[in-house]
Amino acid sequence: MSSRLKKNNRERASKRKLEDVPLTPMIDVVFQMLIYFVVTFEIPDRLTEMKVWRPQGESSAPTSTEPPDNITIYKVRPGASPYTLNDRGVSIASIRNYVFRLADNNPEQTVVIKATYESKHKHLVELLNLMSEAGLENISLFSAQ
Amino acid sequence: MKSKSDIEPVNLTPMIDIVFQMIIFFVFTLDLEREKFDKELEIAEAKKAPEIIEFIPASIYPQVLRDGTVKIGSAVVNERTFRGIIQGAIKNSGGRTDIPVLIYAEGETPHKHIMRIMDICSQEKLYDIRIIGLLEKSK
Repeated sequence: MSSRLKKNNRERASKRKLEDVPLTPMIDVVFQMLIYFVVTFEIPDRLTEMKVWRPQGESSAPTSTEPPDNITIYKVRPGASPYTLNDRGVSIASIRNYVFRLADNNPEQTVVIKATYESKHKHLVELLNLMSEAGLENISLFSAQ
Repeated sequence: MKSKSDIEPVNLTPMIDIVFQMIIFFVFTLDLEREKFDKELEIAEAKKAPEIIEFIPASIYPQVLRDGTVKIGSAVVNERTFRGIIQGAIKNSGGRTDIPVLIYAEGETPHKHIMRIMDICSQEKLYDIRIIGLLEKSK
């Protein structure tokens, strides 16, 4: 009987010790962390990526890179009509039709984009986006004056 | 009148549980790679290109502004520094040259500034060059 009493007393004493652990500092720190995360939390922009090959790199690029079957030049120029296809000024809609036809024939087709120095980056991105939509992945990018 | 000892202690356990769950959520959703981009830059839309689900660690993210300024993270770098960063990255990866370079440029940037970056990458034998486009701007 007395041993049970002692055991109960011991259990009660250890419980009390556990209860006595001060949680306040931990809660303070945890709340500070929470406030930091809430204040700095931002929903990130959703981004896309488009891979390009640079011509000067191709000579020493991985050997898996196949040489282009055909070379088609889209020049991205500054100004109102920024695109040419084989040196003929065209709209983005015409390029779109052409690119989709190319992709239908051979999705492995290499396309060469030639961008002039002063052309805007957004036009290049628009073309690369079009290539991705058509499923063309072998894109070489030249820069020219 | 109730004395101090009569007031029952508030049970904090559920609140601490919730707070910890919130912290775990924020820690896991924190993507440090994404922090490297300046959200103020107006990058061009490319809605049909493959989305970047996860950023490859150790990639290089040059940001090119419309005036030709190049930034890595929030620091403005010149060509020499950028080249040094690339050389350092190659050295740290044990001489690997398959480190991706993701160019994050404003839509209005003239191509010549992008070309400069690409040329440095090619000269340092980094050929995995990718252009970043915008799929959806966060609200």
